[in-house]
Amino acid sequence: MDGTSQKPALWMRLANPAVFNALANRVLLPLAVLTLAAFAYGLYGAFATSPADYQQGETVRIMYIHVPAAWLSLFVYAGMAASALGTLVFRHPVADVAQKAAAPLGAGFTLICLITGSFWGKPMWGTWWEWDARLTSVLILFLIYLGIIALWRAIDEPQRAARAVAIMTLVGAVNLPIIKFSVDWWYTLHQPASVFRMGGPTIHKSMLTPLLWMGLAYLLLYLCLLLVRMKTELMARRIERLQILAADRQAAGGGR
Amino acid sequence: MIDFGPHGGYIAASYAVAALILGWMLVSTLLANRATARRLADLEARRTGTGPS
Repeated sequence: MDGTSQKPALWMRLANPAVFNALANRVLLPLAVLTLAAFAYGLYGAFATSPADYQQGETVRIMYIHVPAAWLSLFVYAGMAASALGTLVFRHPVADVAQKAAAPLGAGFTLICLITGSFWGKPMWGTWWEWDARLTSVLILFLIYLGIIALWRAIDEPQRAARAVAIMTLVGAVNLPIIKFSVDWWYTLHQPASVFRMGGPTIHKSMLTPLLWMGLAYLLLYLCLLLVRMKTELMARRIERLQILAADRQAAGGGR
Repeated sequence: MIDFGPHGGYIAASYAVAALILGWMLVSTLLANRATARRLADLEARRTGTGPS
């Protein structure tokens, strides 16, 4: 072997399922421990150290599970859009595995965002639902997630499904800036951004700290679940290959 | 018991729903992983002839 030859980048080495599995196995336990710790500290902050809001009162505690779910619903989709590019442009074999594994998780976070938002809206706005730009665009995001999951199930051949889903994901990505800026572009019942905004967060540190911890907890949980689901999908594809091989062998044996 | 005032029910329901959905995401992920790993191990064993005949 040439001594000057370079090891391929980690990005490329992850295309090998064995390398991906080894890395996932190594990081999963520490990631799970960190997830539990972040949830414990975040929930402690949400209930023990965070004061009631001067306007919302105790209802502000819903924010600690609602806002991180909203962040993750966008983050997961942005990751899926990046994976879609990985599938279509770079033809990375693990990109569509990541995308398939992420979609139900993104749908779950979006559903949490929608339902907890309703539980906050009823006492604060006097309504469970309002067809304003923010709420409607998040509902559309949830429906796009469901569409992507359905499309994965509708097409049997994984590579064809991956390309179709990648195109649909990229088209749906136009909804992300609409969600983010809906509160600025239109008059909405939903309040404008108070954490990720030009000029810095507008909420008090006593509430911002537990909110960021809960955001970290959601993010770590997502990464844990994503890795496990990707491992599952890689195993499912190996099962499919083995079954095709077995069927081929049987057909060859029967034809003799 | 912490008193969350007149909107305590909405707060409790929010946390219950979030826990339920996160719990479903966790349990379904782990169950699918276990079932797929078992199926793969079974197939591999049959292929190499080490499994039950």
